[in-house]
Amino acid sequence: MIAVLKRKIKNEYILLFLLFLFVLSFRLYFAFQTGHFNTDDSYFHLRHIESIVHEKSILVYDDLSYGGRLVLYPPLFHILMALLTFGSMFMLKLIPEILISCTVFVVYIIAKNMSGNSYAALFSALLSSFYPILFFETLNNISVYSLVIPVLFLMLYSLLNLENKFYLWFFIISSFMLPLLHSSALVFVVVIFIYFLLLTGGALTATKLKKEAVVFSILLMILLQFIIYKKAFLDYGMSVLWQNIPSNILSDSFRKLVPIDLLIGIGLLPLIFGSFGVYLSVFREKRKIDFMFVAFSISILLLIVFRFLTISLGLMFLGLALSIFSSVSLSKVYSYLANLKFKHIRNLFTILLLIAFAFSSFMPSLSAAKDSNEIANSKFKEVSWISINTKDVDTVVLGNLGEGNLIAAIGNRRNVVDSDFVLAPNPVGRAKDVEVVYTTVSEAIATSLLRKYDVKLIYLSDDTKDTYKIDSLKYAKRSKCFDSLRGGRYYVFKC
Amino acid sequence: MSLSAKIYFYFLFLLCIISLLSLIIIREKFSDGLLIGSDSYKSLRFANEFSSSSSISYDSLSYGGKPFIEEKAWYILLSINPVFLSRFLPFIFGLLSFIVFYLLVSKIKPEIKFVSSFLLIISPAFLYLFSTSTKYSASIFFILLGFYMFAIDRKLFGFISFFFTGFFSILSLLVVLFLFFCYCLKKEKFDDFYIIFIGFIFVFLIQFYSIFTLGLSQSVLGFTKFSFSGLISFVVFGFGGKYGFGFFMLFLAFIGIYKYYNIKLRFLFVYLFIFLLLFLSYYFNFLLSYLSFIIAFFAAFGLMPFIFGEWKERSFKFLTLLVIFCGLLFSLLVFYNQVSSFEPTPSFFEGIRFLEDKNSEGTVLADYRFGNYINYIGKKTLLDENFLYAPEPIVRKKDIDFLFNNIDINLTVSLLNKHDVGYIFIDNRLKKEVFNNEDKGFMFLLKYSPALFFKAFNNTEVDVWYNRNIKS
Repeated sequence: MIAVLKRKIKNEYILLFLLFLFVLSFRLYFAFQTGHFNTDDSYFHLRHIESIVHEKSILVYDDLSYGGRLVLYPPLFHILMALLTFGSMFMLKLIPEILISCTVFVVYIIAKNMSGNSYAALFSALLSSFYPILFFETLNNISVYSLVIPVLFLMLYSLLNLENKFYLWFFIISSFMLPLLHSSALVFVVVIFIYFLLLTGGALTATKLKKEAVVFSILLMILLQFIIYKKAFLDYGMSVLWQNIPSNILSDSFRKLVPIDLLIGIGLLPLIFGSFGVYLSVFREKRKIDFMFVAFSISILLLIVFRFLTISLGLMFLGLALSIFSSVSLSKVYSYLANLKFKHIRNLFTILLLIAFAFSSFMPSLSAAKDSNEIANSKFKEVSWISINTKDVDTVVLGNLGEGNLIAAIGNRRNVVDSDFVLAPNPVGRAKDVEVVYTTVSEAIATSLLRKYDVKLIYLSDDTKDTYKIDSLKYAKRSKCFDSLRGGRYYVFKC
Repeated sequence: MSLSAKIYFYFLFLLCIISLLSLIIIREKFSDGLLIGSDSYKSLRFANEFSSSSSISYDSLSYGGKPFIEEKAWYILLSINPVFLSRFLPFIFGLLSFIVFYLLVSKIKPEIKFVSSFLLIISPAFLYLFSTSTKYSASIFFILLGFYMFAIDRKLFGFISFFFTGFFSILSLLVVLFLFFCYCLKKEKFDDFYIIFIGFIFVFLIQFYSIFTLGLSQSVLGFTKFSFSGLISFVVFGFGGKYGFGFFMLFLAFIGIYKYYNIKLRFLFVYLFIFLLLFLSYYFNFLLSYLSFIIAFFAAFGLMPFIFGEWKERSFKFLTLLVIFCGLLFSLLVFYNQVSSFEPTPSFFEGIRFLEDKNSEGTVLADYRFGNYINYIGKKTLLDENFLYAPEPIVRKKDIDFLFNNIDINLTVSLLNKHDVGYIFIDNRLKKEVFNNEDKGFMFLLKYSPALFFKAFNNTEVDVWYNRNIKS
């Protein structure tokens, strides 16, 4: 009996480890298809990490971003990455993929605790590894979320298990870590508020130890956020919650959530099984762990609705929560099927489930992985061209907002605008001006704006053409002030 | 007082001296000795006027000229030596207020007198109040003294002290009157309330009898536009406001209120009352500084369970206390870090000084929040913060708003002529808030109409434009 049990436990863990290896190898396969990263934001992190590795200091003043500006970003992620990778491109690709792949362990632990069923928990872990938005945001990307996500989820789980010294100390350490990693630590604060609000309405009460832990962690997180973002808070006040983002970007990234976003971003299976799991947890099970992750889901939805969280980030968090809740409904379904007379129905259901998973989660994730690589390949070459063909390091290159970090990191040239808006000089005005330069037909307006930012080279990528619905810069065609290079990919401004 | 209590008191007193004095030293060393805030310059101007004439009934500079309807005691007190006292009288009242607060808490809740006094000293709202030369620094002292006199059963002195308050700030006396009304309502004994009410009427009539001939003021709340984020920025220090309460202080105060009034949800009413006062302080800024005493009291009460309470996990207790202490200290350090950049800064004042040397008779068009500086150097303002009994403040505000957003040159000239504008004072804040740092609206006209406007002065913070078409 014991031997069978041992073998069973071993099987679960072997399967979990195999899942981890599968997820990791899937990610690494795509990550190492190219010699660079998929997103512009990666290059923001890359420059910070390189600064720590080469200059032995945190990048406080960035002379390439916005033509030179103060930078405000929690430093821990960059320090950890610098220490773990020493700036090696191979390691910079490997470590974030390992970190995000570790989420399968975290999801498994939570899901098993929630459902009590190892195989349902395994399936949750599988669902949590493959949903499109997660791939789009974290694949082949130096993303802070690859660390924030496992830490945040494990921290929430630790809060429920503080009697265990390991979890107690993990909770204390992660209370320090999370705010030093990213401002989304404030998600934790909101989750805890909602969790306690939910507890007040039911028969459950929080233990004294949990209350102590919560008071400590919330105060610590707020203090650290105050310290890190001191200057931003003083300059922008409450508006810092929207990170000084230009209104057009704000309305785009922080737009209203519509059902199709959930379907595309998270996938069908987590959505169906997760929602059913939420229902079962709240109305049937009523355990603290259920309330905690229901509070988490409600908080994310509220933060998206009130536009404190971008749609993509919100969906990434929500996808994980729903994947966890899927284990509850799957466990119920399996126990229901076990009572049926038809013996093979469980196996049949498992096969159907795997097929559904393949079509609704795996394939879209595969597609997302492929698409993101295509974008990066062409752009990387084009931006590399800039660094080779412009002599002066101080040359200001105009690109669209989503190319700024790439211009600074790969082009090694100053940009006009990039996606790091906090403390940036007039990002709203700059973003507007960039749009005008690309879309105006007036040479006078364009040249005055280019002079304003001392721009010497305009980069017209395919993304920019799509964004502004243009083929070329109309005013540049017959102008003596502009030289078109490489079929209108670049325009040299001479006047 | 026992020996150890005396030592603690002297330590806190010394800390209070150092905290308040260091603000003066920082301003002296890093801001050319400029006073803090526009109200200080208003006080200085009227103190100078009172030192040369015994009475003022008309202010010829504010809004181009308007009746002077205000409490005079503070200006008369300063007029003994305006420059010196503008700097040191708030400091002295700060020390006196601290002592009275300490004594008052000793009477009410002796166990928290040290902690509450300490929290008071490190509160940005307290430090700001007693580093700016405003009538409220004297007024709060007399209020505290009045309450202390009541606490030691010297009611007569208490009443006298409250009446003194009215000569510095009649609104403060109104606050006292309201507090007494609540207190008497609870005790169902209204004797004290009636006395204060009669005193209030008396003090009001002595000072403001002239309003019966003037009628009602056209504007009472001024031009402050309400926004939730603005309120948060104003109340919570560190969110863009100059002073206010540190987050940790507010957190402790709300816990303190909960602990103090944890009977039949009474704390909810107190929360509501505090929220109401915080909301009102958005319009009547002095209330925030007054609240610093109440907040310090409750914050001390809220800190007690963290220090003396039984915790299940000692490491959480230690870490939480450490975080709270760091949070309180952080607010204090940020405040001190900000002091040298408080308005007016040397380069801002350079622009003001430039105007002082000009002989133009016309008014100066500027952000209404800078009116007191412009009046201080003897120039007329089109619009400023002294809106009580100002001539057509709403019309003027509308004119200015229209002017700033308009690019029709003829309309601009006619509006400038209507208000006899000689100089236009544009600072960075105005550029950012109104023009979004762009050459649009009035900024466009200023820049591209050299026949009409001439940039007479500029530095990193200020542009002063001269209107070539000025009538006078």
